[in-house]
Amino acid sequence: MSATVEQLLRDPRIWRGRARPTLQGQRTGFAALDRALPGRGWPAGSVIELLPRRPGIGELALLLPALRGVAQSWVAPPWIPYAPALAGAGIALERLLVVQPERPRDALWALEQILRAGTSSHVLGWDDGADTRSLRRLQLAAEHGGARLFLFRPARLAGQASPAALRLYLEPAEDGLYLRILKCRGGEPAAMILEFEHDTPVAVHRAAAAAPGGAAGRAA
Amino acid sequence: MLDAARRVLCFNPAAQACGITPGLPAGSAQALAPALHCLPRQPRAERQSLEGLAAWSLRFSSWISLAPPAALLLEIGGSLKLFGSASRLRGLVAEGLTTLGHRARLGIAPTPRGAEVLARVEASALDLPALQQRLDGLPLEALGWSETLTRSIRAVGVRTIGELLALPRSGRNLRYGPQQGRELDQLLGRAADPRPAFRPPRRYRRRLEPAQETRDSQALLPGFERLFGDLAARLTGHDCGISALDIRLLHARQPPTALRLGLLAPSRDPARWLALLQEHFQRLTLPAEVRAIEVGAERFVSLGRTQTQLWHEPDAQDEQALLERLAARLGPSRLYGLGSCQSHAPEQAWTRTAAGAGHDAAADPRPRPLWLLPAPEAIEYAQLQLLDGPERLETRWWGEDCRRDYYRARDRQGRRLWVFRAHDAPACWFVHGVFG
Repeated sequence: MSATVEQLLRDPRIWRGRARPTLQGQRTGFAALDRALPGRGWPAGSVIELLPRRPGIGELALLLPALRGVAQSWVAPPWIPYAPALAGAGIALERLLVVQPERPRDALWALEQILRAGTSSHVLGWDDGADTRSLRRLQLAAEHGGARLFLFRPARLAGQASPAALRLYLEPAEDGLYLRILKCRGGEPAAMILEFEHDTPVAVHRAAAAAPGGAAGRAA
Repeated sequence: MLDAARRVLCFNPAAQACGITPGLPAGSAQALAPALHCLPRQPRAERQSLEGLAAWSLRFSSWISLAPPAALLLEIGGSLKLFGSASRLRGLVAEGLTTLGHRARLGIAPTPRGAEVLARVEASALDLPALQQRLDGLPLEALGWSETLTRSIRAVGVRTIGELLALPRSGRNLRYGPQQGRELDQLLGRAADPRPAFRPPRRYRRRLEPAQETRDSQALLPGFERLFGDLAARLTGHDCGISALDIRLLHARQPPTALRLGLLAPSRDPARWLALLQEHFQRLTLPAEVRAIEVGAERFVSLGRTQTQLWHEPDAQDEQALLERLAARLGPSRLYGLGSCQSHAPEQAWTRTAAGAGHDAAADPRPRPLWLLPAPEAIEYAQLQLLDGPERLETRWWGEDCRRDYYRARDRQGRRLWVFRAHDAPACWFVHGVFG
């Protein structure tokens, strides 16, 4: 194969069936997920769509290992990003920018600006229904700036055509998160359960609920 | 253009073709050319313009003096080493003035008055003998004295400055006044000629009227480009930058449209200001035609090393530019950083900071949710499966004792929540955060 073709094939936009891409991804922190992804981690310069069935089931915790210490921007987060927990998880607050636009259209614009500037290696965005054209713009901007855009969208949009390099559907599981790869450039669909820390259930009896603070509250 | 006495002061080639000459009364000029468009002279604008040029000239010399109405004096003895030679410096000044759209005549002399005289004939003399020699052959008019005085001197047969200087001093002073005598002494460096040094104002305000009134904000950009260039030149003279620009668009019968361009770090980069302005313009609907544009800057701040440092950090610059662009469109309050602080009350353990100024004062080893709800939301206990807890937090909240037991929990939809119940109302559960 000539050098030019080799070069061309190295372009992240070229998708060659089952061939492994040469581009190394960033470790996700979950071995099972790394194995399922072609670059053995989160692909660079691309949009990664996360489609949780409900917000708050662990979709942000999934990203924590990748977000440690990197320059990042969060655009249109649904609640207040809680600084003590983020700092506790190893996120560098001095390199974190939060952008809270008034309108969804402005959020898409801000995402594109941030991606193109290439000043944040990781960009997190919360979107409620951008069209395919907007997503393509974001994908191009991510390629341009070499940044990863993790785009959180409601699961109902799983059926929409998307130019994202990676699309993950997420559902709560007993001890963590059920994850299904809907689309993966250069890889294959897969499904797995990722375990977070072990959550031991604590039951509070009705009686104890009425009289809080007692050790009885911890009875299983 | 007419002077204060409504006489023609200067004119364009078309007017010249009609036979207009300097000093012609306005009425006569109008009679010669009925289509003549006469403009009054604007002394205030002239003074402003001269001050602007003085400030700009600070790049060539640290000592400038205004010689109104239309002359500037630059002390260049100290600048010659920096600029190489007098002729090179002269070339730079001439080139700069042309770029700024001015026509100028330059003269170099060892005395201020000498420089004023030599500028009228665009000559240079670097020392006193050379000046004396140069002056000798110049006509009396080069002194810039009043017309009547010049005429009365000419009446006695004196035509050049050399001939005037050759007259006996006492008689000369008696005849033409001691003031003129002193001026001639100052011209030759025989008398002191102290001049007030120009202190440039550390603020800026300029107005420009576009050739045509327009509602199209894009059409205003060239005007702004010119004003920004002017302001940047002024800032260079001060070795300063600005951190905010006040833009006003003036309309005929409407209050002006005002914009404030905030910069995150002081800058004197006109291209960046223009890009920001464009961002503002994209969201702006003009209520009426724009008659004039105005650019103002209140506080000049020293740039220090931020822009002149040798080890240039492109990342920081890019980030700065990005933040400005975002703030321009979304509003500055829409961007922020996060800080963590030491506090028992969960609501007070975090703070909003300026964008890029996030800090981590206190990492909490205890389990804390990644998300905090703006206000606790009630939830039915039946929805919850408690996973870990309780953790008792006792705070004084708004002066009231507040005891809460916090738990990690999961609701029926699988959301991982941070819930609490208050000590005094144990049956009521609230969601305060999401582990996400």
